[in-house]
Amino acid sequence: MADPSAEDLAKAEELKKKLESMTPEQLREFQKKNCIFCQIGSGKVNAKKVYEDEDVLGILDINPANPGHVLLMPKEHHMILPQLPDELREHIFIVAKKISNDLLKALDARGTNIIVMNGPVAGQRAQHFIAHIIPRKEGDGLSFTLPSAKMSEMEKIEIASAVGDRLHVLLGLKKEEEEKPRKKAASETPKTPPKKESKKPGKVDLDDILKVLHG
Amino acid sequence: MAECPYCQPAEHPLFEDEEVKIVLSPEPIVPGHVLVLPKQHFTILEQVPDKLIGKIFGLANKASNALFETLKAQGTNLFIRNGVAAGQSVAHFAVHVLPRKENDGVNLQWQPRQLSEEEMATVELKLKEKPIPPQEQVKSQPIEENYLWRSWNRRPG
Repeated sequence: MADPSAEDLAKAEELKKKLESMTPEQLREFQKKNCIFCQIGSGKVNAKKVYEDEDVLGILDINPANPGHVLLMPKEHHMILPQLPDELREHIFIVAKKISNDLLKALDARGTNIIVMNGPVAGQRAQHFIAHIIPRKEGDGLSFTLPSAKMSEMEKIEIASAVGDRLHVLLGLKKEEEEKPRKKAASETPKTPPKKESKKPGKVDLDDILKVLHG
Repeated sequence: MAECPYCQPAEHPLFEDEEVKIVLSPEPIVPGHVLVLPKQHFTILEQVPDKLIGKIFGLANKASNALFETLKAQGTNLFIRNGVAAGQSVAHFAVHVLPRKENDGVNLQWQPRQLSEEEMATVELKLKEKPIPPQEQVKSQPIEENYLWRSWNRRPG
């Protein structure tokens, strides 16, 4: 590959500056315009559609894990699971069940995997929320690496209580101040040094995920 | 069901109401791996009523947020293994929520298959041949016809 020309570099630099100067709203608009899945949703880019209604679209993945691998997505631009409005999220997963059922019947699949990748660390590559629905057969050669975590009884109880407390706060069933102060669980201690990026030390929240996705 | 491990009362539930419970996975893939379970015994996704699906995934989303906030997860996966061929090991439908960190040893990626244009078109056609009007609820088909359910039934124990 030829080295980028001075002109290309200048263009890239200009784009970078432009992106940095955008407000979050402008950035969202820019991403929407450049999102391949939004273009498929609006019909500007072709794809093999296997399900469509007003709000969601199911297409065949062109890089499938197995033949019949469906990408199910909202037509509206949402990047990650927590951004989906309640009604849309419910609808997406009800449609996922329908598509799973279609794969079992029409493709004679013996099972299905449904996978949502939320954030780049979890394997998300597209900047658009996608539920993967993958038809499975015995001996299809597809295998995921799923280690088994060793946890002491104590750790289990601590994590269950901390996550359970937070969950109750998020569900509005408990007030913030009722949350027990957490002891630092062993699994929370990061073994890898914090990255150089502008992360606040020891704090990774959804904003960080969004920032990473914003590129 | 008496012999189903997910039907047993949970020791330390993270959340529980009449229909759904959230527990730590007894066989965690990573620390903080949780299961969102319908309390009623459904073997596979196709048996779970639509309304309950909406609720289960709403709770899975909240559980995912709670994992971000309490365990400093950098990402999360929702993962469903529907049927023995898909790796399901307990005959009770579950949404797995995995908190993810860099280099945690989990890999949910795949080697993409190279399909010819013809193969893709065949798959598309097969899936389009069974059009079901959008939004229509998938009425639970007679359960005996369902291969997945039968395959579970054949399993010993």
